Amino acid sequence: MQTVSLILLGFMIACAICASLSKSLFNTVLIFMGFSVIMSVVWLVLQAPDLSITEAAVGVGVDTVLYFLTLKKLNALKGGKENNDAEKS
Amino acid sequence: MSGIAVYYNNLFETGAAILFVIGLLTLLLHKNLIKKIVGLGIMDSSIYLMLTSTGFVNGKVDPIVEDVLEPVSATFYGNPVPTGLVLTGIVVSVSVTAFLLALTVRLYKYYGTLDLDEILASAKKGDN
Amino acid sequence: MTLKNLKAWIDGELEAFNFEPDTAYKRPEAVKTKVAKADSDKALKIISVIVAAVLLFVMLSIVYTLPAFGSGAATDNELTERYIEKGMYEVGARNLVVNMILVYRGFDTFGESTVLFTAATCVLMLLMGTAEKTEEIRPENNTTILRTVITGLFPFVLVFGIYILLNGHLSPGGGFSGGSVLGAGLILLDISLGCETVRKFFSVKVFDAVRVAALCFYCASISWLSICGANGLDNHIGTGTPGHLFSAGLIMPINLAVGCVVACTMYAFFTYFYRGELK
Repeated sequence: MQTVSLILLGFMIACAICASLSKSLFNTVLIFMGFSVIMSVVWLVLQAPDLSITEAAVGVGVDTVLYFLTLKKLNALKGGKENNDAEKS
Repeated sequence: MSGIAVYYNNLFETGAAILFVIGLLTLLLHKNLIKKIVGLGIMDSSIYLMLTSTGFVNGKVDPIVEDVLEPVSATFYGNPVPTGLVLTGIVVSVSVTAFLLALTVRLYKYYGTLDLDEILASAKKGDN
Repeated sequence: MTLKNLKAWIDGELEAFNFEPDTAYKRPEAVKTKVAKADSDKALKIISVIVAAVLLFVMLSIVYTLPAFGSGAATDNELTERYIEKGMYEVGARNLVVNMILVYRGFDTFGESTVLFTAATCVLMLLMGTAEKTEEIRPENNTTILRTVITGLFPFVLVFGIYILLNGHLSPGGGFSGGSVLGAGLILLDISLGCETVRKFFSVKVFDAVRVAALCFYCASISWLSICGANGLDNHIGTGTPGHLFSAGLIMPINLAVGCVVACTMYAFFTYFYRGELK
């Protein structure tokens, strides 16, 4: 139990540091989604199954979708219209 | 070394403190607005971890009654109160994140940049 | 993997995967005001790091004095015993967390629904006029796989969401989790098959009617329970047999109402961000 806790906490701290240091917005949002998934497993270790289902459904299903839609509106994803225009000209 | 042994026994609380400070540094040091919102999310998650790990008791199971015919005893089931508090917290965290992202979209359409220093300079000058 | 490779992988510049850094988050033709790097910037950064270090030191010294993990010295008291031992007989649900949230501390959950509804209204107000006249870009070679997979997967997502809602008082779950799964299923259908498919069974009138009716029902039932409880009257709602589907009084209808509101809110967030209008 201590080993599992140590490994999970190590992953979470590594995800948080990498999400903060990344230079690309796309990578930041992906790493933050991984952080949510590992947090969902930690809730199971702490005997709280309600929180596990809620964090999995909300952190991946709603939070990440909102972040990607915002990035699309800000023209920060590759393959969007504006990047194509910039590459052509 | 009794110092390190205490931190090794309270592993989740120590991790929650470290995550809080990482989130705070992300919020303070970056100029990009999206990174600040991600930092706020990390701070929220660390507080929920701290709340739930304080309510954990060794040997007790999660608060769902398994056998309805026996009398329910408080020495067998865990504490349902921290779970309820954190459920409310997760809902509030999602709502705040959605609102902040909508504000970011409007700021970008008006100023054309996501950099906080440039937005403040444009706003002080008074032009578009 | 060396440290340089790790840094390159974080920045997205590793050549083996052909990544390119997405630094194009500023419009190239926007006129930007030049901000000179002042010395006060560096001083502010140093102050921030010092404040964070002091905060870390204070928090770690408090963690040193906390009771041992897993001993329960902080939270095991008479309140917990009352909720665990008498909860199932006074309210009737097998899930002790749900009957604490919706009946013993129902007012807090009411406040949380208020926060969710306020956030949805604010997002609606902010993004109402941002509809663009351009077409949504959908590359043709991505559509076949997405359509086939989603057509096979959507019924299972729907059934799973309704199962979580209906069994909120018997197993882990509840109103918010079930509503999120339902909302995510609707978003999935909208992304892959287009908004005409969703409008066949979920038009704007249905959306408004479901949201208003569910909120009014939730408000009425929580008000009835609070007023009867505060004045010592008897609310004529039985508890039923614990473990059956139709037990625990008003908890199952309240879970369904909260789930409908949350699903509608999540779909509204998605539509306003993606298209700027709900039509």
